[in-house]
Amino acid sequence: MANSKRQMAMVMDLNKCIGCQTCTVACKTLWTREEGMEAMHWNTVNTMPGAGTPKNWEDMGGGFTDAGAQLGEMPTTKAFGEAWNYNHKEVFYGGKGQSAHLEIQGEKPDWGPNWDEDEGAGEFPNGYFFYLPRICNHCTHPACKEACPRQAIEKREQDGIVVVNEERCRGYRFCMEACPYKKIYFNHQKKVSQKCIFCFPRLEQGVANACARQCPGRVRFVGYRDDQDAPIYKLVDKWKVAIPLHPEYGTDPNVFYVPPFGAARFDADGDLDEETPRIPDEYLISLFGKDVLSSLEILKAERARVQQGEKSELMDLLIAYKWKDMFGGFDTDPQTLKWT
Amino acid sequence: MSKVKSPRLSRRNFIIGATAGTAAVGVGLYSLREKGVPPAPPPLPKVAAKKISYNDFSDIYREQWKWDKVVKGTHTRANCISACSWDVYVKDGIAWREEQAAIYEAPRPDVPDLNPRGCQKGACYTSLQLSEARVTHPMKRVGERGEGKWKRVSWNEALTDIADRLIDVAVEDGTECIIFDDGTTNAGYGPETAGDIRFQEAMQTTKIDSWGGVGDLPMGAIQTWGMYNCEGTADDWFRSDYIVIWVGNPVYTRIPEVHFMHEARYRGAKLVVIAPDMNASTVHADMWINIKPETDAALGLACAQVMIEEDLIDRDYVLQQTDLPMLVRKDKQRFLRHSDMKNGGRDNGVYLWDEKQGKAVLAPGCEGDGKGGRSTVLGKLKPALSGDFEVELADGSTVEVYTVYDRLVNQLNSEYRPEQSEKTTGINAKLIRRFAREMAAAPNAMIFASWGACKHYHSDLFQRAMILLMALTGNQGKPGSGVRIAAWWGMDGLDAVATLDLTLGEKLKMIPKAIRGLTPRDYENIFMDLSRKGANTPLMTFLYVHGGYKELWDKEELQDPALPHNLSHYMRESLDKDWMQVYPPEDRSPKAYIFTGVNPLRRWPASQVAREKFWPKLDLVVSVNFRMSTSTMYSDYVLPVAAYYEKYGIKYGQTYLPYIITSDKATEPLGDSKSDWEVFGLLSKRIAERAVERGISTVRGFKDQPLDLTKVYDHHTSGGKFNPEDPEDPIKLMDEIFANSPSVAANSGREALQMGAVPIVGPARPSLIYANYSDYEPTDTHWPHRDFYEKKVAWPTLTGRQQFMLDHPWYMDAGEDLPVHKDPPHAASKYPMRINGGHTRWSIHAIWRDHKMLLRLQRGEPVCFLSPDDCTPRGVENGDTVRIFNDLGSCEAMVKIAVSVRPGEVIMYHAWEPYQFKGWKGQQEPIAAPWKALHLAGGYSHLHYRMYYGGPSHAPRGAPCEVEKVS
Repeated sequence: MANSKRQMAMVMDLNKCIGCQTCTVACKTLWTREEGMEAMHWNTVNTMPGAGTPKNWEDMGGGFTDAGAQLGEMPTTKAFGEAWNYNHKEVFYGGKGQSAHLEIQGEKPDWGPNWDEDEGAGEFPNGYFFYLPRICNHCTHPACKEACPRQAIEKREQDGIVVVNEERCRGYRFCMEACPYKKIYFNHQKKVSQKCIFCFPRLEQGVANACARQCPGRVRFVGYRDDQDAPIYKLVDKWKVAIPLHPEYGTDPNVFYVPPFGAARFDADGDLDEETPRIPDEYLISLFGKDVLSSLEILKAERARVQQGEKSELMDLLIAYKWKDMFGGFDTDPQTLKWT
Repeated sequence: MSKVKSPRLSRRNFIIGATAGTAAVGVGLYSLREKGVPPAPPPLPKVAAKKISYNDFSDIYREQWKWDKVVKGTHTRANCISACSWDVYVKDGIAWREEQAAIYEAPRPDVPDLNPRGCQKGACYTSLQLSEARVTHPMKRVGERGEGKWKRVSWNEALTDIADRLIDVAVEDGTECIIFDDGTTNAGYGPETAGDIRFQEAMQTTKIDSWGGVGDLPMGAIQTWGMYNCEGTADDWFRSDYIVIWVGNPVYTRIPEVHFMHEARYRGAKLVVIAPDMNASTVHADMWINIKPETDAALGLACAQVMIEEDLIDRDYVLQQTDLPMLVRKDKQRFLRHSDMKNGGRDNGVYLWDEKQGKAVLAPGCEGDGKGGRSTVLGKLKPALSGDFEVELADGSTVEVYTVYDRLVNQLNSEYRPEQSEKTTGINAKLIRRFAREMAAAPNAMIFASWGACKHYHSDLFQRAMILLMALTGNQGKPGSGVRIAAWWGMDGLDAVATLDLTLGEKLKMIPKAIRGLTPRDYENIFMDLSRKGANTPLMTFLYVHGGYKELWDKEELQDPALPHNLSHYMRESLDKDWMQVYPPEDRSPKAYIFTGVNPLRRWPASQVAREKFWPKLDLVVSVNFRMSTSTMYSDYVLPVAAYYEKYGIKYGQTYLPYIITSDKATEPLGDSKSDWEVFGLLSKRIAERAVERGISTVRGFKDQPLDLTKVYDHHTSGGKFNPEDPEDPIKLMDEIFANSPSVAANSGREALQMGAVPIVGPARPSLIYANYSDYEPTDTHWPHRDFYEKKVAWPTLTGRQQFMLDHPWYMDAGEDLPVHKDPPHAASKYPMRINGGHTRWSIHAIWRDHKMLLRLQRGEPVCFLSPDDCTPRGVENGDTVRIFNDLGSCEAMVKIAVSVRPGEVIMYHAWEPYQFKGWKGQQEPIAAPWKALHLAGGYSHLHYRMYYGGPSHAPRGAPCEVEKVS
């Protein structure tokens, strides 16, 4: 871990994510409500397969290969989805009756942060889809940091959180090109790059990230990557079921995913075909690399064990009997804090 | 917070009340029990935030996450069936942000806890309440209805004018011609709802029983159980080994709770989804059964056939808990009755064949067992499940009898073998067998049916088949098992919400029964008496008689071809026999319409019919709301109410969560808005004042009884006990509610508000409207129907059992005396596509639908999901606009092409505002939503109208249509 003494990390269990976007809204209402930030969603959730946020981000390049840093495209605000406004006043008070209806003002958009929600891929009845929540990966080798000519991006020593120093930032946006996950936005008002701050002001007070603490699906585990008693270490290192997204991007992300297993497929007669997985292996490998197969095997084997009435530490971890145990000690109830 | 243990409360000690939950009609026969709950533990101590030594750019963010105070809040009147406690963070006098309070405790260590709950909608209510749709000042229409021309007026002017016009209606036509509608959206357990209930009762207006109008009534459950409440706590789902999501989509609709299903998978449970489309809940399923729409009963019955043929059934359970061993006369195909066997015998006594004695014996627990129909304990009886027998009737003749089981098996074997149902359902027979076997083999199997199970024309038949499976396998009444739809927590103190009461005579009449202990049937009868005490009118009947829908719903193509008559015939018979009530009577016309929260011109089927035929009948339309809805646009007056975080409230409590959620006032009401409690109090007050000033006292009230308008406010405030203009008055009401509710762990309104989530600690008085007939144990999960299964209490049906045969003449004519599959009327439509849908993840009804923060996370406008197979031939591409139309109407929406959609379906999720569509032609325009005439039936033990509970319920699903690209 390059410059940091410790590293904060997150595990997201895709077998529990329901695509409700409570994380997105929790983040939005906390960090990106100011002018210039309207279109930002530091946390996004997309239906996969899909073009995602920003549109076709997986084709935009950035990150590293063995050959070194890769050139990437800079995503446009349009590709992220703009902050549409509406004509409520005209409809309610304009005296126009049914000739005016509520609609987006200005140019009609053709993309947004969740535009392809619940569309999926494949063919009925053997189509497939699942939800993929994403935040900044707070990478161990952050391409954004490396790309910044102003050294405006810092990887915090105490917790490895990657933050943009908005005082140093001059809005060159090399970071947006370099980040292969395309998780950096540009504030056209303040002319600076902005992105997920991993809720460091909350963590500093012992409170888990808003996206994690507010997740009704109980999807997200938070904690120090090296805390051997906490779930992150157990899921990533001990059980090896939580793996990074696009490891080939070369940035060494600190967000990990428990990969999804879909429902059984139908054969040509409409009976079940349990041999072929509904979500094709190749697709999962394209997202998570080859390790995804062993991760799924481990999950299936442990599930089979509990079905036989045996105990499984892994299954118990993923159930998370005690919600607070998901947060690696960052379990302070924020409403108890008193600011002085 | 730790759960407070109360002294064990036994139901036997309870003196009966019948609080109607949302209706909150009290009998006022209070229990003499002590409250018995120690005071709540103090709130968590405040901890001084750590001083972080810093002085750089990152302070911007540290400063952002600070606040002045935190209060507990929730979304009391959103009609969300979840209830979640939120911490509302107040900064600079503004409710700045909310975050889930997450203070729930698991009842036992081997189930996951209930934290944190919440959803994306609740997480942004602070911004919704300040959004463009918020109304903040009283307004009067100055243009045409719906035109959007308003004049801002004072409360004084608005109240006086509305009061005068209501008085005019009362004088000329009687108060029944004033229609009051608080839909379902406006239901709460506290002051936010009590105000409008008290207004309606004091004015004796017609009250719309709106529940059937959202298509929510599980009529098949009522036909089988005599009740429908059948849910427990959501953590009980975790204990299931086989979870079947059947006509529901909890990933969209149970965001706070669905994790228990996914966590159950990690415990080893199998999750099955039965749905025509690959909906979002299939994402985490192990098995998806892709059924053809509206053939669910055929699947259920084929599974029953397999279970019986392969002897996978729980025989003891079936003999004890179902009507399958009851005797049926072969000559008439009706139950053998006591009145057949004895001259002057009872018509509600039915028989079993006791193998030990070799004769027919009255079934213990049936309504006419001669012992009050209390218990289904079989004792020494050995009922035959099957067999041909002969019995001698009272007239000396003999008749052949067999059992319901025999009838059912004959029918299943001849019509519902898996190979036969494969043709109907499109599901491979092997898969049907596999599903049936797995369900039967699971130690604890449950069917999560949800309200979506009520919105098809033959939903009742789906439900009867589902319950049959749970009964055959002995699952109903066990943890993690059985059909699950819904149930509510009772609170005895809710009597304070309403003003209605039983008369002294009525109370005295109940005392002998109360001494023996009241049965579920007794509770139902009390509830029925209360239903008749006000001008309650089921919405479907109202719309048929007064709303201008008769012509539409009488149409030939909307009738069930199996029925000998059309809807008008059944409606006539039902009204003439007083099975169904309608106010005002048929010869009078509605004149004024006051609605609060509810959004009729969005929600009612083919709402253009109401706009064209019902609205012109109205001299006055008043909307009381916090936001601008389509219906509000068509009103004459808008009275703005406080948003959820600006008033005191108690969220209605469905049983998913073993807590009652309260909502404190975080900030003062915005602009001139006032709490609902105050608005309706002011309206009653002004009516009384104006009546005095105009010298008008007695007018025609309910059933033409004299009503003194000068006493309306007196009645509203229970003789001056309340003063709605006092901002703290709602606390007084909440004090009364909590002080008199021993089943919850708060003793006063303030205490409850501070707690936010008030633990359930014991059972409340049972009432038909909410009871699931299980005691509450704070140290366990909660599941329904334990009384029937564990204590052998008789079910409130004719047979005292889960009853699969209904020998009501209408049902026999319709061929529905046993559960069957039937095609809906629209099966024969000339249109190729069918409109289906369900509740969305993005709104609670229309609330949040127009909120831009959430619209930016969708397509920003109304959408429909289509299959690529239907788009290609029509030249439709993703993102195109299409017109969805039929003979009745049309609407336009953007297309989302999704592989999850079954070809032939147009999936349009719930509750866009009509004003979000071009020309305000909303998604209901092409939807006739016919409903079953059989639901008007009465005069048969448990088949009859129940206010807010059982009545005709519209069926919006499956509307036939065509789709074309709009160029």
